[in-house]
Amino acid sequence: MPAETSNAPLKILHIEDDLLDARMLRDQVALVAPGHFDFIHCERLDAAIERLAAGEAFAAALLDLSLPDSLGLETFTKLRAQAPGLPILIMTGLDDQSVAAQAVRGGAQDFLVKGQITGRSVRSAIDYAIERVRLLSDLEASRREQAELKDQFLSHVSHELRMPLTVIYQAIANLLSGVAGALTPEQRECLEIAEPNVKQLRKMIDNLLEVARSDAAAWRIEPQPLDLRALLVRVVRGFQPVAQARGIGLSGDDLPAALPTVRADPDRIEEVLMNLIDNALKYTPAGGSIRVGAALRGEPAMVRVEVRDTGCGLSDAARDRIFGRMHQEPQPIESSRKGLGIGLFLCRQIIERHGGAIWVESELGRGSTFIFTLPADGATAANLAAGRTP
Amino acid sequence: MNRRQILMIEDDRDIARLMTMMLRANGYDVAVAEDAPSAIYEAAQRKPDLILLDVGLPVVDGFALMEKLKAKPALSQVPFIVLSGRDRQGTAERAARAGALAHFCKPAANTDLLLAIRKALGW
Repeated sequence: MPAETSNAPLKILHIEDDLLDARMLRDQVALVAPGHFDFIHCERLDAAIERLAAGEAFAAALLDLSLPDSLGLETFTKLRAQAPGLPILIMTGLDDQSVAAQAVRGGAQDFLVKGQITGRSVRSAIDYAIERVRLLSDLEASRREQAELKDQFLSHVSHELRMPLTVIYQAIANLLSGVAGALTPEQRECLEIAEPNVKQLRKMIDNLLEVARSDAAAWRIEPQPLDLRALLVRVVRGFQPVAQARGIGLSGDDLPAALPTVRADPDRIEEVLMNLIDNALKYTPAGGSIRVGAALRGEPAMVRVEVRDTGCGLSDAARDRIFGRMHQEPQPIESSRKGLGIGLFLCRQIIERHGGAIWVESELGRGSTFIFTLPADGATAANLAAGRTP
Repeated sequence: MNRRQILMIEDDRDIARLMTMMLRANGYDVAVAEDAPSAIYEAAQRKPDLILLDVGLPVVDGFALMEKLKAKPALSQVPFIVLSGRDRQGTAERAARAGALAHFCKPAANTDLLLAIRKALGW
């Protein structure tokens, strides 16, 4: 049995247009539990909603779905929208139980069939409904608290992991820049191998933190006008030495002479591009090629960016899985390094938060094309479409 | 030779040592303060030409310290460069609003940082 919390009667909002039904229910309950509830009666939904809007507090509501000003499931959804935390019990006739069941699926606590109720059954249904909602909200509060603790812990761990890496990076940078004296070619080679690995480790820690965060607000996007073409050219150029070393042709030849500005977070979009090109490099054999292109498309105007490789391609099943969390394709060309398998998951989050889409077109053995879109800035897009260069 | 003075406010000793090495090799005099009280003391004593401030100090908020330093007449004209850990909380914006000449996420590339320092010092 739910605990009796106090002797003060529980205020119940009783919404019922049939005065006789209302009266009978109150009398039945009063017989078995005198003074346990204080029923506040409303004949119309708008009257009940008005009382709630005015800030009046109730322990629970008994709701007839057929009222002069509202009918069926809508009656329930309106009341719930006004008071999301209020336990609601549906009063229903024998003939409309399926609607009542629908309301229960939508968050009502219970339903009582008129004509089949007793004072005792109404009393315990209300008491249990109140108790259930209280437990649920306690549970939700403790879940939130746990999530916050997890975020705090992750943020602390990531900070602690990053600090020593920052120190190592600075030490390598000092050596490479000759601050600590001249280097032999072999010493320089060692450091040049170490440096990108430190960067990679840092990137992995950052990504891990982002994925593990439960707080959606942590996914900050700071959009600003972005010259996407310049960014594409710069990122492609940055990867050229790596591509060359692996015997893979990497080109931005498919880029048009001009692209409209987009509103986007430059760091995030750079992250997406780097991820896509890095992946293409991982899965493309020597002698293959990677082409980065872009174009203005459609209405509303979107800029479409694609990274096309001649790598091993993807099976149909893999195409569906690939943007999921912690997914990894089994056979990168450079098989010793797999990464964490969260790159594309992050890419999708980032692009979707910009109002764009990301997908892949691919065939096993014939390479893959990763495509993403970003909303174009209206004015510059119109200029381009009219053939004027910005 | 008249070497320019940089006051580095950095609580991590290893980073402080390595950056000091880098800055000295590039012709600057460097003093290090590990916390807010010593930063205030050193700044008053040395009247540096530039302050490098890690805003992620323990206990005291780096920006509050910057405000305190800037409030001193002898230091009001000294240029600040702000360093921080990862920037996803708008540190760059805060730094600009607080009057910093530049902001870098650690680790900053030596060349970028040196360029910003040269710019700040006018050569």
